[in-house]
Amino acid sequence: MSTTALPDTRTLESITVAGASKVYDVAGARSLQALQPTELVVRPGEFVSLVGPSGCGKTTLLKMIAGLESITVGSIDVGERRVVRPDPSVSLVFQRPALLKWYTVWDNVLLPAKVNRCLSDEVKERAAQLLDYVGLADFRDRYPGELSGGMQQRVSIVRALAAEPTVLLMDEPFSALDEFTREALHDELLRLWEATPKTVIFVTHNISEAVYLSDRVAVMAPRPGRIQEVVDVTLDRPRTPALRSTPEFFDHIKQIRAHFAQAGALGGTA
Amino acid sequence: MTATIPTPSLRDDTAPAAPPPTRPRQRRTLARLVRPVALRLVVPAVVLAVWWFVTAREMVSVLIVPPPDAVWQSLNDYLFSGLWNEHVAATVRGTLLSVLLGLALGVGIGSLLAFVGAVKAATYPYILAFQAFPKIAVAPLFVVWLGYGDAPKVIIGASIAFFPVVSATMAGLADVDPDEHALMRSIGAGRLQELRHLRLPRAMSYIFPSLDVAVVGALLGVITVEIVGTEFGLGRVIAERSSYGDSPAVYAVLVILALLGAVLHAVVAVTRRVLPRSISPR
Repeated sequence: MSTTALPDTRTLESITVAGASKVYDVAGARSLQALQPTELVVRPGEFVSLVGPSGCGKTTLLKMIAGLESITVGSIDVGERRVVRPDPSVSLVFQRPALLKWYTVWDNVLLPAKVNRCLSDEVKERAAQLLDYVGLADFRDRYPGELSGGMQQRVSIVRALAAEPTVLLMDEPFSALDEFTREALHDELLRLWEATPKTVIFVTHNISEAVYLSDRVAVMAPRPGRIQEVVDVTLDRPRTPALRSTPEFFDHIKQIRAHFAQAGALGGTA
Repeated sequence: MTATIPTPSLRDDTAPAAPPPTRPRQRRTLARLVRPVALRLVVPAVVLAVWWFVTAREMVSVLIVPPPDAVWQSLNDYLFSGLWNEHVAATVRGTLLSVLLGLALGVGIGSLLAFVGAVKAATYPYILAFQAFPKIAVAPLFVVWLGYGDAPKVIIGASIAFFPVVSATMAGLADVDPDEHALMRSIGAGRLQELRHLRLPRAMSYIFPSLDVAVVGALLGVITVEIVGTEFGLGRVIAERSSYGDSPAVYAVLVILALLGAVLHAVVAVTRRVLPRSISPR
């Protein structure tokens, strides 16, 4: 397995959420506030998780940053760019791998570059390196249906990174995987992120996953969706599986659970 | 990632090479190949046996059910001698043209209905009504209008083949996975690119199965028109031979038609397999 750093020519970008909110108009009913006006600044190269129960607006916020969901009030900037529509510099990884089953792994990975008409030898070289990095170099010509769930999600992460984005947005990417595969992918994601730094926003409902991966964890609460608190994760990097059983790790989890309890988002405490 | 790449264990390399038990395994793979074929021959064998038994005992009139050897004789006299070549060719040609026309019209109109809501609202009820209408009822009219050539066959055949393709095209183009749609949007794909990479391949996985139904419908339409009246075609042979009371020849045509249907089905299946997955997903 190659351990050399992958070349990355793009500069890192910050994400600034300035009072952005989302209101859905419901026909014949009171309009639904999916996300209260929200402030959040993600520094260039930072790894921030949005954690919360269903209905707290975490996926809505992610889609707004991606330009897939309109912003009702307020604004979001990625670097210097005001978000109004999807942009190739921002890549998404979904809960399901969303690989096109009629294309090989290789064609799936190159699809974003192909669609943006920037398919160059450089992109191909990079895609090949990334596949090698996640141990799937021998699976280039396979079809998604022939891979396991964990392998498919690895391919979808490679697809997101192959187009050299500056920002990576991940929407519960590991929630459909079993515990062992998930933990393996945590380490792999961190390795990739350290090799090719990106600004990452990671949506999850799994508190320990958020602590293990992130620099900061935004605790979100529902009805109406909002960011309750942003918690700094002061654990050293690089992080290794041994960290999972240290008291410091549990302290962070406890701290975040306390915030959820305060917001009335933990079962039975409301 | 040691978890995903199987690494050959050391034991495999160093262990003394034991002679692999080839013979039983070969026998087993042979059995695995032969078994499904053998099972598939059970039904024709039973049919043939019952047929032979019933006719040998003269349980029914030979006019109604001729004995198998008489049908074989007819196949020999008419088909293998080349006497029916033009009839077989005409039926095959008519069916293939019907399928191709039905496919082209079906995909074209299906796409139009899937993408232009106004066209669907205006015409889809009538397309459904047209589907419910028994199209072979107008076969005599088309023969009167268009003569004894291929044209009336292809029009009736295509009109039957067309509907399954239309509904498959509409369903396939409308079936978009929300995540895949979000992915295409997030990578900046326009409508045409989404069509090329997402909707068309998905639609193809609907259209191919519909072709099986379309082929059967086309053959039905073509045979019906040929029975009504045509210069060449197996339908005409059925009409002619039954008017002479030549049951063995009629049965011979039925055998040919059954084989023809099977061959056309196989052609669709093989085409689906042979085309690259980007055109024919599976």
